[in-house]
Amino acid sequence: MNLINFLHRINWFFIVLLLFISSIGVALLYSIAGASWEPWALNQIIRISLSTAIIILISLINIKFWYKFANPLYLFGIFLIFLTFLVGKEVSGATRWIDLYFFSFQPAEITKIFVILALAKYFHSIKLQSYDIKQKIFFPLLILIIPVFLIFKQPDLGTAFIVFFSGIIVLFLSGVRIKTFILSGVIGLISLPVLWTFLHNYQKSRIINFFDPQSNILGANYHITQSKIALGSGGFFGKGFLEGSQSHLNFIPEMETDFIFSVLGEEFGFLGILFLFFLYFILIYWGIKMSLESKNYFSKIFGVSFVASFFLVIFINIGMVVGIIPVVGVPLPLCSYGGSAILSNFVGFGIILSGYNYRDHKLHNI
Amino acid sequence: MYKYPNIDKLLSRRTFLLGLGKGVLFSSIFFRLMYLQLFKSDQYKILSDKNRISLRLIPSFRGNILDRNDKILAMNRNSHNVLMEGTKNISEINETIEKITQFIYLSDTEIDNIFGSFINKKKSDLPIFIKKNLKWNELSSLNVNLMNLPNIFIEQGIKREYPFHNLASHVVGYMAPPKKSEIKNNPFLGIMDTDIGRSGIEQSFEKELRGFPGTKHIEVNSKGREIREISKEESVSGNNIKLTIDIDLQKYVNSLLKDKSGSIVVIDVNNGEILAMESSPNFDPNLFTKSISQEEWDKLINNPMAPLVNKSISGEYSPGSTFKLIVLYSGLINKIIKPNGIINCTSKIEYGDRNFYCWCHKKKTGCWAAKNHTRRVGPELAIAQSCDSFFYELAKRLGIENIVETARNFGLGSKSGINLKGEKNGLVPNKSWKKKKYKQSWKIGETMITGVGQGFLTTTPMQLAVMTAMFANNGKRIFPTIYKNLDQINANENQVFTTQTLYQKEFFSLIKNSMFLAVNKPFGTAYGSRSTKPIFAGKTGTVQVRNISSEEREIGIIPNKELPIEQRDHALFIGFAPYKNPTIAVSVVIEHGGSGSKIAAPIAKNIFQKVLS
Repeated sequence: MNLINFLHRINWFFIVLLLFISSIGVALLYSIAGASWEPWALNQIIRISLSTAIIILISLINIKFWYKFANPLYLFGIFLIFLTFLVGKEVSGATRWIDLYFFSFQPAEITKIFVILALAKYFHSIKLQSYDIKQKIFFPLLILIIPVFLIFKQPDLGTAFIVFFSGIIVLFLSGVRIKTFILSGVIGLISLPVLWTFLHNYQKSRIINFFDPQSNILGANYHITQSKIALGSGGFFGKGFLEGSQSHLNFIPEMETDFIFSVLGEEFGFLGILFLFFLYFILIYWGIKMSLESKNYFSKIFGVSFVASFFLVIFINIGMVVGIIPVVGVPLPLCSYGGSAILSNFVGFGIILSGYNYRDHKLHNI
Repeated sequence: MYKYPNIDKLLSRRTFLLGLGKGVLFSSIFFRLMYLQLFKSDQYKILSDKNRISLRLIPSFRGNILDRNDKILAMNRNSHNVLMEGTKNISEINETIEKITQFIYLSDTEIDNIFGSFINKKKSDLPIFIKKNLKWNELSSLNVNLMNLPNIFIEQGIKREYPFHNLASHVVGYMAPPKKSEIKNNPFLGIMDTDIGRSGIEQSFEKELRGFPGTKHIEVNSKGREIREISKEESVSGNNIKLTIDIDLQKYVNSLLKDKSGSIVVIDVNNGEILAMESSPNFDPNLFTKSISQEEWDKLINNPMAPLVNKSISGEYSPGSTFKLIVLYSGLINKIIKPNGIINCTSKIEYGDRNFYCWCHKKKTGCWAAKNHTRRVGPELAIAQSCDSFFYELAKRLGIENIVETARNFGLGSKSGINLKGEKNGLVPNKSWKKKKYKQSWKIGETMITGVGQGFLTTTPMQLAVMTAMFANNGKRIFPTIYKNLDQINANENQVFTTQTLYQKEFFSLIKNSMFLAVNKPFGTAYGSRSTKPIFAGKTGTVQVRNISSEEREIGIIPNKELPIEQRDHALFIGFAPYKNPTIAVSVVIEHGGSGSKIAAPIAKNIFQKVLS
């Protein structure tokens, strides 16, 4: 099979869609910087370009590779998180970053994919051996809990939560009984007060702030208040590109990362948001559709789980920005400034594309 | 045991369920956004504008203060202030101070002020002043490094400048930040972040000078930094105030008081305009503008010579022999002594259980030099030689109440009406005053002591100048003024001479003649300071500030030179010129200077020569 054939297989429509959403992020970064490519937009373009090369490469790699190396990658992910404790860079009280001299890298993002891969492989192999799934709940939970705990200790509450629920989604899709989920949910609720004691003070205050927003309007809740003003004042049509006063006058905090959605809402209004939602919808729909077309269970379960996890991150970020869930440091997928998130999302969708490219391949236990 | 029939079918079902869950979560966001962006949009638009737009006051240009020849004594200069963006975080202030001190110097007081304004600030998005009135080199080094100081910005302001520095500082006054109580009465002061007049004209004419602040709507960022101006209403500048002071004369007068503590007042005898008014030592009002350091402030406050006090109006001194003019006039008008009357004088008078000495006692002059230490003295000689015994006797005959009435008619014992804060009344004591104050009755001896200008009696240098001017202009009541361009409505205008002291030209001629003799005849006390161009007349005064015992009188009084400074006599001189047709009068008071004739009279001579030749 020659290269032309190879490239022909790739679902270019999907890659263009990814790039289109990413470029909305670039446009917002350009606007926030006061119509300037510095300091964010240009960097972001470089990262997107690199990630595009990587997604093309990954989509050409046979899905067998991912199946084969799922476990080593999982261990590698855990190793990376360990590394942050040893050589990590401390940014505002949390050591989430590994400084690789030329760029900083947040391993928790990519670890999420490795966890989903490992779980998908586990359930795929179980299915091959025709084991009863409900009896095999303990081991996959262990696979899940180890990285979640480590990420939680970094401390990165938001990512830990996302990795945890991504794993739960895999469990759900694999057919673990609904009854088990309900039971675990109840146990989880009961153990919440215990978990509370593990939280850092700033995490506690964020949660308290969420439930009592008027308590300290200029304190920790400032983020949400300003974000709501930005969204609300954008109205239906928005204030126009480069015209957002909330963002241009620095009222929105962390607007290039966690709060980029409020900049979109301010400058492009409800209409602009609907457009982004539409793009996300197509992306998610196609992601699921491509995954389910695969003949192997591994690709299916990975794809649907990754897309669900992708949706979850979108929900948490936007939910936080519009003030319906507490502030957790989670970026808006594909739009927020940051290399690790862009890269891991492209890698995730790359594996889905790979699964789609090699949809006719059957995977056997290796 | 339950077995799934088809795991792929199960996956599809679960994917569908998951999709439903996503739909639920998504619709919660969707409806929330509809609520924020469609239903509540107007409300948030207002909040967004409130965030964005800030109303700021534009300080008005303060009026200039000019001298009588339009030379500028106080003016405005553009200044540059460095500010930092508002913050809620005290560590950010620490960091900023640490960074900025690499480029500019901040004193401990200034750093305290930064934290003080941070703590006092109500709205945390207002910027914080780091340093006001940057020097040129500070401004340029900051400008070069502004890239490294993202939360720092430089704003133009107005500062008060006094081009003549120390000269006339007591008249012009100085500016300082308002006190908390003042801000309470006038909240504008707190918002404008402006200084207000603390003394002198700056204080008395604060309202006229200040003008009205303008307003501007500006777009600000979240840290309070100005991004652009939206609308502006200009401020209204304050009025200029023109003074009667002649700054060149003031400069000269100032040089005469160099290293001395005291006061000089130069007044126009016809209209009461103050040509110069110097209190020494003085201060540089520019010190206060650039926010005075604790060290400099302590130096001013702890100086025993009290540089911040305007001695011309706030210093209360015994008038000494200069008061003899009042006693003589009172004697003449009350017909106690005739113009050609004679009193037998001795160098020592015993009255009651007390001895009253003449200054000539045990000296080779005056009564002591005469046969039996006794001689016959008339009014003119008594003034010219400042014969104490004459005035002990005359005062005793007059009685205190007559003396008081005359003194009051010449403006003693009450404020001159010059519109400067801190003016004192002086004290013209009488029987009822003593009764009230000490619950004792008045003694004749106290009348005699008052007759030579000592005892309870005190006057301000300003009052002495007015009194002298009134002798020079034949008794026309004048009120001192330092404002050239304002019609001064004087509250005391209706104050007129009582019937007792009707206008008596020949009495004024007699007194002026005796003042002429004092300066221009060899037997006069100020003969050493006489001048031919112009010819002037005057009266010396040497005021004792310590008790001299009878024993010391008999042995010989310790000369001033051998006494510690604070026990030395005050030296006084009052006079007018030209003698024939007087135009100006002066009062000179040198604290602990020594004798009036040796110290104060030469100073007066210099002033007359400077003004009139």
